[in-house]
Amino acid sequence: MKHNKRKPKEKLIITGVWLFSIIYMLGYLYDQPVFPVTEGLKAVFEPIYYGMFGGP
Amino acid sequence: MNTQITKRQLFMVVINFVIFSSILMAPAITVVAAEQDGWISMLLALIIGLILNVLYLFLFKKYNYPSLFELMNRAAGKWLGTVMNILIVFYALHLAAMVVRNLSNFMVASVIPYSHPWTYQILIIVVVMYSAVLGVKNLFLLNDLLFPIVIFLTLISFILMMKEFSFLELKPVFHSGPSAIFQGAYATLGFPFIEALIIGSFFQYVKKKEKLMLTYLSGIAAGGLVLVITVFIIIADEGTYLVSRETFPTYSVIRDIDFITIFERIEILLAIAWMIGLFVKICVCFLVVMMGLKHLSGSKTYRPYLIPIGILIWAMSNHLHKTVMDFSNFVTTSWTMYWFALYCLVILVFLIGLIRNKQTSLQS
Repeated sequence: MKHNKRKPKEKLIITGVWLFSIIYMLGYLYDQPVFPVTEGLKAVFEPIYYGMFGGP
Repeated sequence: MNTQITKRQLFMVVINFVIFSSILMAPAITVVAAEQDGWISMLLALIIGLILNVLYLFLFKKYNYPSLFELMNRAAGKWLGTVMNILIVFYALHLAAMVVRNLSNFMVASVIPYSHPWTYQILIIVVVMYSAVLGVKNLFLLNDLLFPIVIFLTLISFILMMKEFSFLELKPVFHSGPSAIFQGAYATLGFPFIEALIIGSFFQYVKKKEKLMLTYLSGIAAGGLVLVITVFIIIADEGTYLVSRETFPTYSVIRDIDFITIFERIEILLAIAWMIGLFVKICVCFLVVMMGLKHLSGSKTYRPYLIPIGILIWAMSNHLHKTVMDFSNFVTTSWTMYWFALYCLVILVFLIGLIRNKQTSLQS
């Protein structure tokens, strides 16, 4: 079977996705704050909610 | 392989997507703010959700339903389009992780206590990955098979819930006031009505695109009405005091039902329907991530991304929120505005694209 060669951009993105996934997984397993999404989103959107409604 | 789906299949996936993430949690979220008017909050969230989706579909239709990712590039140009595509992929990934976490929270809290959440997370992710390997059409065909079962189980659950129904628990109507009703609607607006915009990634596969807007909006309306009825029945069954203190009140209500000694612990019927619905939702999000990455990298297939994204979703589902309280609080306070931000960006990109097209056609 002839293998279609991957373009450099494709290889870069596949490698990037794998690296990010492994680093994030290790960050979770060792309880390290890798890419703290929730904290960032809370910092942006929670004040809006509290401003609108005063609290949950 | 040319992937083609029918409008009926899209309609059923939309209904599953809308109903089964919220059916267990929506009563508690709305009742905390709006008390016995929680069903009015749900109805308000449905109406606002429909209006937002009408605008989204109206603009999408102007481009004749291409791939959502291709549309971002076409409308906003190469670089801004790429940024928007990365954002859509991230949102879909985040949603998948949250839904997986929701499933494991439910299983550990209500169905099999003291079990490890990883069991359910890994099992559901493996099944979703397998479905993705088989292609986009596989999900829609599978949903064709499972949808009648899911609806039948949900209907049975509703009928059984009517045993304890009391209008007294719903009175006085409109007592909470408009601000409380709007606060109740706020949380359920993002989850699930604004989230449904990622289903736009599948419009390109619909065989006959006439009345696609009507099909999609009908799915959202039907799913939303089921949620309104659910909240209505749950409040009438248990009352606001108990509903606002439960994480999964719908499940708790059915757990209390027993009639004729052979029918006990029938709440598992709703749990099965919910798990199937969640599987469809996680699959939708997973496929959107796959399609987005395939588009971004220009690949012919998304298979190289299956395993790393599966691992990432598992890790994110645990790492994003340490506790169930943090998870619930985030959904209540931040989720709607977070998704509304994406919605606004997508609408803005659509409008920029339309203006650019108009300018190009005027110049030529």
